[in-house]
Amino acid sequence: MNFKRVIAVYKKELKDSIRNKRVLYSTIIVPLIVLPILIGLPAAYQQKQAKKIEITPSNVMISGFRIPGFFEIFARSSFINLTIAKDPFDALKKGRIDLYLRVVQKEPPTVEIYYNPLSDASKKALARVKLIIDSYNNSGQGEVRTKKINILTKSVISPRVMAGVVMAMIIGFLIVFIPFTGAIAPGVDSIAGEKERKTLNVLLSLPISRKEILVGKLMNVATISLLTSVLTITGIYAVKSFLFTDINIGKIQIGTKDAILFILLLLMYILIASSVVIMASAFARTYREAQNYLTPIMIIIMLPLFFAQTSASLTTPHWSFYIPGYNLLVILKEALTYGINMRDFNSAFISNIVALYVLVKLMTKIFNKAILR
Amino acid sequence: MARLEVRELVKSYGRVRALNGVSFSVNDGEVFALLGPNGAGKTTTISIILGILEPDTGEVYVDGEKINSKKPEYRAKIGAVLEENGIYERLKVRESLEFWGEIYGLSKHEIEGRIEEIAQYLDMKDFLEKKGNELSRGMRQKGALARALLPHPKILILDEPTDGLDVPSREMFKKIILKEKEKGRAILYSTHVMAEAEEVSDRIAIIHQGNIVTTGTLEELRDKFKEEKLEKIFIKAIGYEF
Repeated sequence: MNFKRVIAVYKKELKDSIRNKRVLYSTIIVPLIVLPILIGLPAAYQQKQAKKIEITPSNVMISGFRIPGFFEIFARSSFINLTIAKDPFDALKKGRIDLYLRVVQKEPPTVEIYYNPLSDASKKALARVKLIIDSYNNSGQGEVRTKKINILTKSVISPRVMAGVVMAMIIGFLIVFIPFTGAIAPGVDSIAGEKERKTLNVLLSLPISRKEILVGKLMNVATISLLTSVLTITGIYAVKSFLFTDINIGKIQIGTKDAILFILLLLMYILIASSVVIMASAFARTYREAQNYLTPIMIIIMLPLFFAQTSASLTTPHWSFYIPGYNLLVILKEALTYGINMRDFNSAFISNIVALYVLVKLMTKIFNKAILR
Repeated sequence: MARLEVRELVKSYGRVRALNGVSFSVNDGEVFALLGPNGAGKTTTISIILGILEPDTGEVYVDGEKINSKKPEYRAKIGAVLEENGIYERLKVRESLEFWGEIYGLSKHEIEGRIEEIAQYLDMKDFLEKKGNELSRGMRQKGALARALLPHPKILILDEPTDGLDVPSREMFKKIILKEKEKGRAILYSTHVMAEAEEVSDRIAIIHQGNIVTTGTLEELRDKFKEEKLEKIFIKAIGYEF
C-alpha cells in the first residue's frame, strides 16, 4: 500500500467533508448548539422552577377545629405563608394556594391535608407541612402532646383528571410531532422531488396556475399527514394496555363537543405543518436540501413541547394558546380534564387562522420565486 | 395573423443576459426552427412562451392575444415537448396521460379516446400500462409527445425532442413533425442538430448569445451566406472561427 496515496485520498475526503454543509451541520451545529438547546433549556427551566419552589414559602390555608398551639407552629414557620381562599379546593386546583389543611376532629386529633399532585409547589408544601406536624408530634409539648395528630392526605385532583393530564402529556407530544413528520416525505417530494426529477417544469407548461398546483399539493400532503396521525393514534390505542399501566384509562372521558373542537384544531395544525414542509420544499432545489432546511425548523417547532414535558400543571398561561402546535397540546389537556375553555379555544383558533394565512401567503411567494430563479 | 408571435424578448439571469431582444413568429402549417448552440437562449425563449419564466421586457402573442403567465388558459392551445420529458416515475403512462388530459380540461370520455388514438399513432400501446421508471429514453419521449398532442394543440413546441434518441426513434419523430405540419399546426422546433432542421423546417432562425442573428427559408439563407450546407451557414452566421 502506498501511504502517500492513502493520505492524498484522506486529505481530499476531509476537504470535501468540511465543505459539505450536511457534515458541518451534524458535526458542529447539532452537538454544539442543537443538543444543548434541546436538552439544556428545558432542564435549566425545570431547575430554576425547583429552586424557586425551594425558597418560596408555601401558601397554606388552615381551617376546622382549633387545637391549641397547633396553628401557631405554622404561623411561626418561615416556610409557610398562611392564607385564606373562598373556595380552597378551586384555589388549590388553580394554584392560588399550595395546600389546604382542615382539622376535622379534635379527639383523636385528625387533619385532612388536600394537595394538588400536578403541582410541584403543592407537593413541596405537603412535605413541609408533614415535617412540621411530625416535629409537633415528637416535641412532647402542648395540650394534646400525649395524642399524636393523625394525618389523612387527599388529592384535590380526581382520578379522571389525573389520568387525563398524564394521557395529554404522553399523547399530546405525539399529536404535535406526528402530523409534522407525516408531512415531511410527501411534502419534500412534492416540489423539491419534482424539481429533481425535472417534472415540475412540464407541469408548469400546462394550462394550470401555480396556485392550483400548490393547493393540490397542499391537499395531498395534508391528507398523508392526517392519515399518519390517525394511524398513529390507532396504533397507540391498540397497545394502550401495555403503554399506560399507571393510568386508569377507563376514567378518561372526552365530550362530543370537546372532541369536535379538538379535531378542528388538529386539522388546522395539520395544514400548518404541511404548509411549513411545502415551503421548505419550494425553497430547496433538491430533496436533500429540503430535508436540511426542515431539521432546524422541526427543532423550533418541537422546543415548546420539550418545555411542556417539564410540567404537568393544570394551569396554563393564556399566551400559550396563541402558539400554533403548542396550543393543540394544551387544548388536549383541557379536553381530557375539565373540558375546553371557549376563551382558550378561540385564542388558539384565531392564532391558527392567522398562522395559516401567513404561511400560505409565504408558501405561494416562495413557490413562485423558487421556480422562476 | 401569426399563430405565435414573440416580440423583443429580453431576459437576464443576474448579470448574464440570456435573451437580447428576440423576435419571431410562427404561422399555421409551418415548422419554424430555432437553431442555436447550447446556451444560445432557445430554452429560455420557450420557457417564456410557456409562462414558466417571466421576461424582463418583451411580449408573447398567441392568436394575436398577449399572454399573461398568471392566466394559464392560453397554454391549452399549446402542446410542448421540453428537454425534460416530465414522465412520472411512479405512474403508469396511461395514468400520466389521464392526469395531463384532465389538466387540459378534457372530459373522461375524450381522454380515453385520445389516449387510444395517440397510442396507435405513436405506436406506444405496448407500454401504456408500464410505469415511468420502466421506460427507455425513446418510450419516455414518445410519452412526452403524446402529452403534447393530447389537446389537439394549435401550436406545437418541441425543445430538442430527439436529443439522446436512437436513429429509428429520430426518424419517427421527424415523420410525426411533418405529419403534424400537414394537419396545419404551427410548430416551433428548437434544435442544435443541423440535419434535422434542414429536413423538417420551412423557416429557420439562428440564435446566438441571446440574439437572432438571421432568419429565413433554407433557400434564403443559402443565398444570403453563399453556402449550400446549413452547418456552414450556421458557422458563418454566428461568426465562429477556428
